[in-house]
Amino acid sequence: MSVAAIALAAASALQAPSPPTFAVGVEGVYVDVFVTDGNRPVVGLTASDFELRDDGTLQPVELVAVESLPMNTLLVLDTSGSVAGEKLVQLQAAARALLNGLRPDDEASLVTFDQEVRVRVPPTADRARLERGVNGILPGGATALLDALYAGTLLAWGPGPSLLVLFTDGEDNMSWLEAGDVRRVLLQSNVLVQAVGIVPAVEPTRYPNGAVRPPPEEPHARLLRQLAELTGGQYRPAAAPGQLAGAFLSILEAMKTRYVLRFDPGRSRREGLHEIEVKLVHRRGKVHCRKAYFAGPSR
Amino acid sequence: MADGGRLSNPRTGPGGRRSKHLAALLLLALAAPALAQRPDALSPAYEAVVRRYLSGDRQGAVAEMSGWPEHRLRDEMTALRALSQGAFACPYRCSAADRWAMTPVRAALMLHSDCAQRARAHGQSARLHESVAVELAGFMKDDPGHRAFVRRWYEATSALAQGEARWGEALDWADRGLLVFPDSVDLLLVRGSIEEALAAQAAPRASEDALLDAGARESRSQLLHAQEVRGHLATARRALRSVVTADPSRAEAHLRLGRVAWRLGEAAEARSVLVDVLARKPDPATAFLAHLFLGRLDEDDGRLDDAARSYEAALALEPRTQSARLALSHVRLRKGDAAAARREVETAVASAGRRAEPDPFWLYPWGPSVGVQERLEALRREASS
Repeated sequence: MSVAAIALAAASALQAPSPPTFAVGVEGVYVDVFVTDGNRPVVGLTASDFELRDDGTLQPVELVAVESLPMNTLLVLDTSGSVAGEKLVQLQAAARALLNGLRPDDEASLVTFDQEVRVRVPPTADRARLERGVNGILPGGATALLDALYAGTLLAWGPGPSLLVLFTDGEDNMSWLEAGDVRRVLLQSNVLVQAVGIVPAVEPTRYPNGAVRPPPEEPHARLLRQLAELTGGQYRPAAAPGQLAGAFLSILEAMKTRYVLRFDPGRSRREGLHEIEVKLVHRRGKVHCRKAYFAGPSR
Repeated sequence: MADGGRLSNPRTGPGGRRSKHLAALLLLALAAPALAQRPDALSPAYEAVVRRYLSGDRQGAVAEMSGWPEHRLRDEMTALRALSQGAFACPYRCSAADRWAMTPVRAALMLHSDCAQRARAHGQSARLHESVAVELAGFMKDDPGHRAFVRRWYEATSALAQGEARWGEALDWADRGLLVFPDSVDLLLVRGSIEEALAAQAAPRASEDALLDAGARESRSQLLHAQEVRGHLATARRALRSVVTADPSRAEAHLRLGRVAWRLGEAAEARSVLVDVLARKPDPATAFLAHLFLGRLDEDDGRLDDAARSYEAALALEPRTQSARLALSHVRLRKGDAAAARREVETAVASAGRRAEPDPFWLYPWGPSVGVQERLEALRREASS
């Protein structure tokens, strides 16, 4: 899950179906952190290898064992007309591979969207039911990507951190909500978005003087990347449908090798949006994590 | 139709020398009148396939005509041009005028239209039959008996392209039609709604700041995209203003003007237009969209209670629409009530697939193309009557 900003004190209340409002001052905040060196995860780090600042203030952190955290996964899959054919076959295989990689007790749910957002399978640990849901997907219609991401985020937003795996093969053309609306809910929630798209590979431009200019990022790919990174997640472009399973499985791998930091901002924490920054101390590696979290009113 | 003998299929079959000799004689006999055919006479074969379409065997006629090579179709159009020119040139009744009046050009127009549709459905180029149809429409447009039909044909053809997301072609059709019928509010509405859709499509490539403020310090490509978006919106606004000037009762044009003004960042004008739309007591779908768009204006102004009321008014008209329900959810979230926001989402997804009619917001991008197949069918029936 992306960074998890969770009110521990409110955790018991959060067992109710409604999502949490993070109370100020009495709880800890969880932050999912991915550390890579090149394309490889950096393993074996300890709490002392991290430096975390909340609105610029250095905070002591502790490391939470990933294995001890339940993982609630929500698959949000684009089933618009453009997904028909080979893409759908590969998407279904990729989704099944991801579901099979979850731990037996982990719950997952399935949401699909064309111009409409549908809950195909509500949260369950029943893999067979989830697979039936995946196998029953019929493509058709337009693409309400932002509406689906917004709805999925609110549905996934629960007492613990949640992983939202988003797949789309194209641009949004039917959402009511705007990108800014979705940014708002992503910042406020404790949902980690990992996005997968299909973007045909384009060769870079090679100039006579040897300079190489990478192709410009497609607007919808840029938007997906920005939204995923906002939550600490990543955007994984697949160049062809056959690469979808690899992209989905790499999400699972990243989740297993992530670090979960916890810090307690204390009673002085103000309500509203907090910027957070995580750095490595005396270690090499690139850090991916949520850039901000939202603290709700005190309760 | 044209004078002259009818062409029959000169199949020789597996007969002997005598039958081949007879066939050759028959061919010569048939060729003689053809060689003497008037330059303004359609070939009997063309006449036959149009009559076949006219008789109700549309599929058969379309399949047959789709196999015709370009040069044969061009020959027929040359003849039709000569016939129409002859007909329009004579001051009173003359044989050319009589023959033109007897020629089922409406059926021919719809036949070529359907051939173009068939070509697209088969993944082939529709250009040939489209160009023939345009040529035919050009002959018909000056005939008072056909002018209204040609106008409706242009309106339906441009709307069909819009409905199939062939945006560029739809614009071309609308522009072609507007050259002949500059006061067609339907064509102007197609034009305005397509430009609006193109602006929406280009918007993700331009940052929001660049879109609303051309002086914003953005990258060159973003500014270019922003200019593209503004260009589409400005063109849309011109077309839509022409619609409401020509026909103030067109609620859809007013609604779109409000939405375009919002996209251009002109909130006061947008609000005024949308409030006016509601004051006109429009149909439920238009009223729903006006409430929805007003809600967005309220949200932008930070008037969240007003926004919620607008979205609730939209939901009162169309209770199971996801667009309005998600909009309301977003207002709840902005008001700090995430639990209420989630409840609205749960209600929204619970309604999925349970509406008798589509969410009006889903139909909005398609503009006047909604119902175009029925309009085309009406034209076909009219052409066959």
